[in-house]
Amino acid sequence: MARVDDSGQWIVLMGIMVSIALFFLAFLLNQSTLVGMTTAESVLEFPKNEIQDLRSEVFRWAERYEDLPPSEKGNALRDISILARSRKSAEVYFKVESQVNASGYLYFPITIHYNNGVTEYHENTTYYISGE
Amino acid sequence: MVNSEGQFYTMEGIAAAVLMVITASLVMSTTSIYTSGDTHIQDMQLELLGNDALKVMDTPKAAGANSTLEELVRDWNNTEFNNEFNLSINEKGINERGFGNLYYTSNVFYINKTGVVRDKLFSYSRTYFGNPNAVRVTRWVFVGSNAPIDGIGQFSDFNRTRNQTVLLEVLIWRE
Repeated sequence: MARVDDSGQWIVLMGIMVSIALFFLAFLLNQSTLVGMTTAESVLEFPKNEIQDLRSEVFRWAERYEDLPPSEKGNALRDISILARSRKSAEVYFKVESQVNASGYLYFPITIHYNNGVTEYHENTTYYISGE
Repeated sequence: MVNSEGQFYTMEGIAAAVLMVITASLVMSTTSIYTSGDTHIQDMQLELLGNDALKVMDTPKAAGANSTLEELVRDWNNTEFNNEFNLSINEKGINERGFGNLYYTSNVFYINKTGVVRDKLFSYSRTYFGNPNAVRVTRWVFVGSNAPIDGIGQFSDFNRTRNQTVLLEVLIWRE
């Protein structure tokens, strides 16, 4: 075989480097759409609004809780847990306990549980009625 | 003594190897299909918008008072719900349709007298029929006891004798 002319090797090397850089940039561009997808997906998957909605509904329930006859006090939990199970595939439990008087401050202790199989949420909180 | 002969062959070999690796990785990646990120981002925005609109409507006018949403569902006032909700999710009102408007349809789920989950079509701006990419947003709505007979209490299997919490589900999509 004839002797290969070894001049111009730098140009060839540069050509290879540029082509690899181009491939790399194309790869980055390709990945950027996936980043948008996974971020949006994880935002969609996390039940932020369901939990906030449940919390606000429980607090509103606590507002009314005091005036309800004993037979009506379990209604909201029954409705919400059955509907959440059938429509949202989530297990929901909450409890508004009887009024506590802590040195003049009246409040209801509240327990909230939420579990949709992916996200679990527990909260112990209080609903204040009045402070003196 | 290093012999500089044959460097060209080496380079050619490296280039061929890189080409083969890239080809193999391209072939491998064709088996997994990704939907474009845009659809999910739009879904997320629609969901946030819908939830915000419902949250605005479900905010009580004063401490201890009912919210607009609670009154509209209790009185089954789907005309007024249509006006308010459309005003919230669209830049324009319902009577001035423009480009890229959002449409919705909503159902109310409740537990009937015999303890079965039932639903009724509440309000809609357009019938949902094979439209792509609708998202679902929901809101708990407290309906007191003795729901009015011309409101949600008009349904024969609705239990009017006790206070109830119903679930409002809204499908939103862009056309």
